Amino acid sequence: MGQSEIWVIAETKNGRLTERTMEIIRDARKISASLGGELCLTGFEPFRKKPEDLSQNGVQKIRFITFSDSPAHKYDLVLRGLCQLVEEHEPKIIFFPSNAMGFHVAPQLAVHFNTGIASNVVEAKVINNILQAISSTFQDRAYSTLVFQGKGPHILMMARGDAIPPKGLPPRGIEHEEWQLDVETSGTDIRVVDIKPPDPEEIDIREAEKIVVAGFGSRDSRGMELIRQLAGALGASLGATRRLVDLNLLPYDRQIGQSGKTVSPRILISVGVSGSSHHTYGMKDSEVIIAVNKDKNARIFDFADLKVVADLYDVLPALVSELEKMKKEKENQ
Amino acid sequence: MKSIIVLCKRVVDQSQPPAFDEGRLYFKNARYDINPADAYAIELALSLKSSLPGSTVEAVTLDDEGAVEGLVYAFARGVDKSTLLVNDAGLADQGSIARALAKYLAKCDGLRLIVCGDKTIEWGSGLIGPMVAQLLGFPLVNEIKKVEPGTDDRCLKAYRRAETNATEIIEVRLPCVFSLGRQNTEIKYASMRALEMAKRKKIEKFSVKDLMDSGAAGESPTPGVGLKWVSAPRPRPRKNLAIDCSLPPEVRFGILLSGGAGRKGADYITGPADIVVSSIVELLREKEII
Repeated sequence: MGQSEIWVIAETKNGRLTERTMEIIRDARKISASLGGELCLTGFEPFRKKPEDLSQNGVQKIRFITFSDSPAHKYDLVLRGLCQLVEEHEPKIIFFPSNAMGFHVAPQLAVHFNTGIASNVVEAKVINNILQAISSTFQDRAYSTLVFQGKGPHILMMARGDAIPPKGLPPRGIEHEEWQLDVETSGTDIRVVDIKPPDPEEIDIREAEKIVVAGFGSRDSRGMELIRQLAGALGASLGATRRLVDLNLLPYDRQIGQSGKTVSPRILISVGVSGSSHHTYGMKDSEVIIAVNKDKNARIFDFADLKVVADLYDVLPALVSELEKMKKEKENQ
Repeated sequence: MKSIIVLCKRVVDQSQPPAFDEGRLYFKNARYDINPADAYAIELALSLKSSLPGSTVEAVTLDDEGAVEGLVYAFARGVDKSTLLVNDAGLADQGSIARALAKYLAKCDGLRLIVCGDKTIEWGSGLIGPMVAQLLGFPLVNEIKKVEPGTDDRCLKAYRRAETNATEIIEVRLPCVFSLGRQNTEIKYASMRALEMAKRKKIEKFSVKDLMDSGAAGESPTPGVGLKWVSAPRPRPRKNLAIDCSLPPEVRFGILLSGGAGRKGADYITGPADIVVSSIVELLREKEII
């Protein structure tokens, strides 16, 4: 077989393939077009994605890897599993996402095989048959060009990839492979003892995918309790407006707006927020905004995708119980 | 003797913009400070001193001859020993740097724990910690939030942030490598007096050349990547805000004020709670959030 494959390690969130993985696939396709090699998406967790979406971006093979039961940490299993697989298949290039798993596995893999690695890569290209990586350094204030040398597999950790989908690539059939690996873990030194669900007040609001924002309208103890319940049920982070932070109901690192933090989550539910410009400045780039307010003329409704004119004491208990019910149904399935 | 080692580094003060010349990067009148993530690593190492009785904390830097700012800071915070590995071999790629560090660390007797910041705000590859762990054969735990004493003195209990934002509680055997990023809490400044005292303390220096020569033969001397060029970043694409001129002035002003983020057209929903809830749940389902 020789060095014929280019691997992309899949990044999943809540069972969905992330947008970053799709971007990385597009970069990997360009590399495979100029260097040759089969583009192979390697995943360790099940994910939902239409096969034609993947094949239109150039994926030729999906390899799905599961591990036999083991007390070892997931990252350890992935590392040991990849070591086995790389020895067998000798891929040319491996693309990792720049997440916690990538930063755990990729550098150790590079040391194990004594090969080159570049992290925080924003663009990969081939010049004169040599792989080059442009990596973002000095907190995006400088770009450095790295040249790979020596033997493969070359490892790239992508911070982001090509955001524009390619045109004119016809959908093709994708080869599916499923493997179960028995990884030797007797010598493992890391053991997961317990997993605590996320605490809404600990998730950094700048990175959170879901945020529930409490406004001045929800300042009493029952309102705050309901907001905490909603954030818990959604697995969301908790944000606040300045007036609420001034009342010492939530710490300053929860504050969204001009004098607080700027956020852009996938969903933001704002409850009892009037929507002064200082606050909306910090949250207007959110993907979906749901606003709950009693006042129909509140400014927050100018920004909302769903404008709920209702009392939060009526809506939130019903919403929380509905979400809890759906969660239980999902678990029972 | 048990030892805890912190890998730390000085970085150029963030307020200064880098300048570029012929594919190289430099700073005019650079001022240096400790790397923020490494400052948290030092705090963690010092707090673990009591969990590992009889241990000493040592700060280690691999950098140019005069790069002592990080080590002086570490002394001011209270580490027992500081070591500078002088990079006289001109190592530039992360693989070689990690190998040189691992060679020094392998010689330390009674090494129980290595703590490092996840990445610097300069080159910020984030590779050194994991590479050192692999080279020494130590287990690695990244994204550390908190560490507590374990069931016995040969293990520790680490709280790490999982990708789902949940907290994983991990029991790890020593010796191991911990890597952590900036935390939410602020660190107090080192006092002026402590810094002045720290400047007088002795920093041990070793030559990287000597370290590399003393190692076993047979390791690949050629790095896997080479730095070719450094340039200013390309300008990021900006969002253009084009306002429809046919709109009345007050609407145009409203769009300008909201930065074009106003979402017109959505309907108000009101009525009994179950109707409202069902429409919220429907939207959440449609956007694949639940």
